[in-house]
Amino acid sequence: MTALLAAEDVNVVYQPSGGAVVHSVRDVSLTLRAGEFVGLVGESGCGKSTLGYALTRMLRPPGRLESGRVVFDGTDIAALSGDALRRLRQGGFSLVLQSGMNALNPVRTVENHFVDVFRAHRRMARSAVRTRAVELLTRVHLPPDTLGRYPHELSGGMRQRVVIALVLALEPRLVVFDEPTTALDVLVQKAVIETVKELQRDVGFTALLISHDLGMVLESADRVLVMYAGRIVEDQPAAAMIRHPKHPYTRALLDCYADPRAAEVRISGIPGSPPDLSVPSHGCSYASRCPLVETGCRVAEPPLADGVACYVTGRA
Amino acid sequence: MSLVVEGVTKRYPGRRRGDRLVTAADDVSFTIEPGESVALVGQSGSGKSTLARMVTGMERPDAGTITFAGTRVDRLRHKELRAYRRRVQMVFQDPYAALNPLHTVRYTLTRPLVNHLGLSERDAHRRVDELLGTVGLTPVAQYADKLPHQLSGGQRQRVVVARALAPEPELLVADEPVSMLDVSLRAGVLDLLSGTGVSLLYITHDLLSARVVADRMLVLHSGRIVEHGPTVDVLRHPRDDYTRALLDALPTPFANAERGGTT
Repeated sequence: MTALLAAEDVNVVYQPSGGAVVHSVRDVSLTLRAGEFVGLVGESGCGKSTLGYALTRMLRPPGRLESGRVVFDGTDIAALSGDALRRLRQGGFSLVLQSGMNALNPVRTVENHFVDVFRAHRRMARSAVRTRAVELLTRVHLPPDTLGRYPHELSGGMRQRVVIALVLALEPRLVVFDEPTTALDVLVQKAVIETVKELQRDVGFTALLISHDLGMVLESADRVLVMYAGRIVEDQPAAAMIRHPKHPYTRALLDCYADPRAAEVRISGIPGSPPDLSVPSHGCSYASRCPLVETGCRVAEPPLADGVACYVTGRA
Repeated sequence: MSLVVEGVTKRYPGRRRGDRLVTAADDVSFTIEPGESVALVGQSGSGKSTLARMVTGMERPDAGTITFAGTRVDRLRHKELRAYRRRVQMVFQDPYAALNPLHTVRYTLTRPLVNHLGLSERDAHRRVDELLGTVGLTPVAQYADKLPHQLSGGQRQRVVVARALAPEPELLVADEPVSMLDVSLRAGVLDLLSGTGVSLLYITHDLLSARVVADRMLVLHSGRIVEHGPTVDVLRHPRDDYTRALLDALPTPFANAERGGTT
């Protein structure tokens, strides 16, 4: 498989006026191959959404790409602007945000949302828009009469399905899903994720699923990236990660989960808290919380090698 | 001091005029014995929070009775209600929204001590230090004068728990207290909630946390209790289809995964 998207040494900073510079994404390199379903997991403030924005060129001030390249299908998207960027949004890359409620315009019907999307990118008759919209709604398991509805008439799960249908309208080759089901109920969450997987299989786009929920990501994705303090600390196929997590942070995260049906259930937390990303750090950013820490860990940040950024567990 | 909920029904008007009434609780009965923790589990809209509001005296049932230590909660008024609220305290889902952003931790914790227990300034000061120790916010000096925005989500929720414990309640009602926290912080707050010795009504959609915290579990679906029993039994041998559906919605990676090298 060929690389559809490659990020090279991406650094993103937030520089609020008068405030300290926060290094939100640090030296991230990653490759997404065509047709792959990749998960990106981490806790609040680890930089996962910021990375998702950087990969889809959605960063807004005070956030900016400080250095590094994001290459989509051979084009450096950081250098793009205006029309060239607009052209890549069609048949290129898209972002699905957490709350479908906030992404939709409350005073426009679902049909009008489709009209907006199609007209922004191509000339299309109203009847053709309608036909195509019904096809797309069917794909996300919504009835055709959804077209005439307003967002407030739909449940949270239905709204998120509408957003996904709108994203698919432009036939993207890469879709970044940023916490697409976090605001939804458990049963609805499961159904929406199943639809996303089914679409990814049938339509064949490349998916990056960003979530704090390691269980959901491990279940959905083929490959999982674990992010901590702005860096990717582990990159493994999901099946391998479940059985043999490499990074001490991934291991600790897995210990926060258990099957509630098991005979014995024990969950643990992770003591301490992540480092302040506005303060320059030396050494591994997980060192202060790590049970395996050695003196060498505090000298320089471990590079990501063989799927793990750890001096101790990476040696094995 | 047991809580007895018997045949409680609550209906709300529909969204528009002429819509049918929405039944949020339909003939619900359960009890919580002193020191016991009971989980109320169901998805959004199942009626969990409505029951919490009735148990805490914020709403009255249309039918049925709620009795706490012999007192009819559903009939309380004014002063009696105020006295009842000292005995039954809530822990909310969003610790940021539950704390006044302009109040320091010490001020937040002092208020229930002065208002409900009538402690003097000096006694309250000492009691705040103890409470912070109980919820693991030590050294006390490091946290007492902080404002909510200077704390992490987990620390904030510990302050909310400390505030709930301050007036020496006999029952805690916790409505999704960890769902907004990072997974790495959840175990700590759950330990805290289950270790207080105070009776606990734990409201959640998360079966794992229910398993960790609760002795018994009630499964609520469309306002009705469809299954109840010891938490372990309900989760390991569910009888109701809805309980099974909730269990099936769990991510499977953790089911029977033999993991190597846990630390």
